[in-house]
Amino acid sequence: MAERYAGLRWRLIDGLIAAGRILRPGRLGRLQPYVLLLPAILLVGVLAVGLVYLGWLSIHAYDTFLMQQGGLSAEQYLLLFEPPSGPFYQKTLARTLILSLAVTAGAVVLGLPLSYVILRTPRRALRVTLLVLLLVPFLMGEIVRTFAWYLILANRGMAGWVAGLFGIEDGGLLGTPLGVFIGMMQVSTPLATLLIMPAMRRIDPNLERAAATLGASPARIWAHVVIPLSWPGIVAAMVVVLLLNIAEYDMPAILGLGRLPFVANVIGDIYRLQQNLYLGSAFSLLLLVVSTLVVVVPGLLFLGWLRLRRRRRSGA
Amino acid sequence: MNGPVIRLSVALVILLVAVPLAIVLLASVSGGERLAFPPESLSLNPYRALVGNGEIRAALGRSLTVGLQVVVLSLIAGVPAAIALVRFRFRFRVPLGLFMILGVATPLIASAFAFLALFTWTGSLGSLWPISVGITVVNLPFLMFSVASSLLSLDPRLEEAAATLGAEKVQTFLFVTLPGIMPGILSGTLMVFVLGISEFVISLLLYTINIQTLPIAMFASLRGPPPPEVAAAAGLYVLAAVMVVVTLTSLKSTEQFFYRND
Repeated sequence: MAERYAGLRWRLIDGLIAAGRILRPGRLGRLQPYVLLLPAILLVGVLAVGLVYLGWLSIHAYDTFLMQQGGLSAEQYLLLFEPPSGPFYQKTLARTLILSLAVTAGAVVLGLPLSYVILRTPRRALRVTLLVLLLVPFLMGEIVRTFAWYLILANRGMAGWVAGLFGIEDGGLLGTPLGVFIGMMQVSTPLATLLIMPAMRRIDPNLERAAATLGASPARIWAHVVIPLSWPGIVAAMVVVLLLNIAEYDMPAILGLGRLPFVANVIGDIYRLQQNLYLGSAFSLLLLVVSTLVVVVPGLLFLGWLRLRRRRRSGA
Repeated sequence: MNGPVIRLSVALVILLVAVPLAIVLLASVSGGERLAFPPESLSLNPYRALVGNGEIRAALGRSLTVGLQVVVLSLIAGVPAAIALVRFRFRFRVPLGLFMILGVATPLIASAFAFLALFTWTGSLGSLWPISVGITVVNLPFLMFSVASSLLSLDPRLEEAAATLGAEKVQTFLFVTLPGIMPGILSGTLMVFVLGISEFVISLLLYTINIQTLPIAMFASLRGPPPPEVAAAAGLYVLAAVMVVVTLTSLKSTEQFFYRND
């Protein structure tokens, strides 16, 4: 039986080799990498075309009553800034940005010591346990993370029970910005840690030892050695974590009890409740532009500044 | 340098990450009509309820289908793309490499809306394939990075040696390259699979009422007091994530990726 399978396997391989001889991929020459990339380009191209189509939809008027497309106009973008609903949209955008920035800051602050411990601990068991714990939230899915925090923060949940042990009676954190913040931290902190680690790994431990020998306190070593040398990782972490959180949907919807909508919730409602693809397109593109301005531009400027400073120092 | 501040923050992160895992697993084996903490008793009732609830079971089946479709699409697109970007030098290499992460660089809700608008226009909503295509585009970089990092650690001289010894291109690929990058392909596949079965935002915009995936069904049930079968479904997701992560770390590629003794 096994022999028959082995025979089949060799026949298959012979077939592949024969196919290779007929097709002769080498004949493609310089086109070869493009042919290999073709399926991926087509797939990602769907998104690229979709984004262009969003731009097209967003610059058209739309009759919400007749559900008909009108002529070219800036109507959708104006709706985002004019009463009656403009102030609500602006408030939502501000809330999304402020909470995302807070989560990003918190994640980086916690991620720095954590990646340091993972990199410097001599105990392999601790390192592997921490790595496993960091990867699980990322892979368990947004809805399951939200469900877990709902169970913790809800009225009859764990947090209330623990608080009750200490004699504290409160209404719970559901519906408050702090509840949403904590929920978003669960995936943001591991993500920040994993992105800081590659940069921090390149720091020579001897630098810290040298600083300590010269009498620097741990706080000074962090401020003058570890953090400055981790900047590329910190910037990467800030960019990715902010991008992730700016599009958050579940945590504000469930943990915020619908009282603290994020941009994603409003975009979802514009489609699910009003079936308005045009306004939704404008809002989606606005979020894309804002996130690019808030994330990518400062990130690039900062990396440029770092390089400039390094060049000046090495020149001086 | 294990100061109290560092210890405190590590403890805090462990709490932040581990408590939700524990609470989901505990809820998934709790007795009683409603979920509460501490649970009234321990039982496998939530899992029995999951098996008994036809709608949730169908949603689970759809999520698994989406996960498999995402794996197939990601492999077809991601593996050759990673090989092209790592092993070839060509004119548009950098811009095309950047193009591949478009799905990660765009806020997820904007990507989801782009798919929604496009697929509404082409009239392709109503089946699972559009959802799988969308999920694949935003998660493709994870498989590509994973394959690319094992390609980078594979010594190109091995392939040259095979060619010198008279192996044809196909043979070199099948017997040298492919086994060398298998750990990367495997960990990338596992990652896009679990990300695919648990994806939410894209499914939320692209689902129609008769093709709800499991995360959508779970979200809908969280509007009120969550029923036990949702806890069981969440428990399954946590178990799947833990199993995948343990496999990834035992594959060594993950640890090597973040921690090298060099």
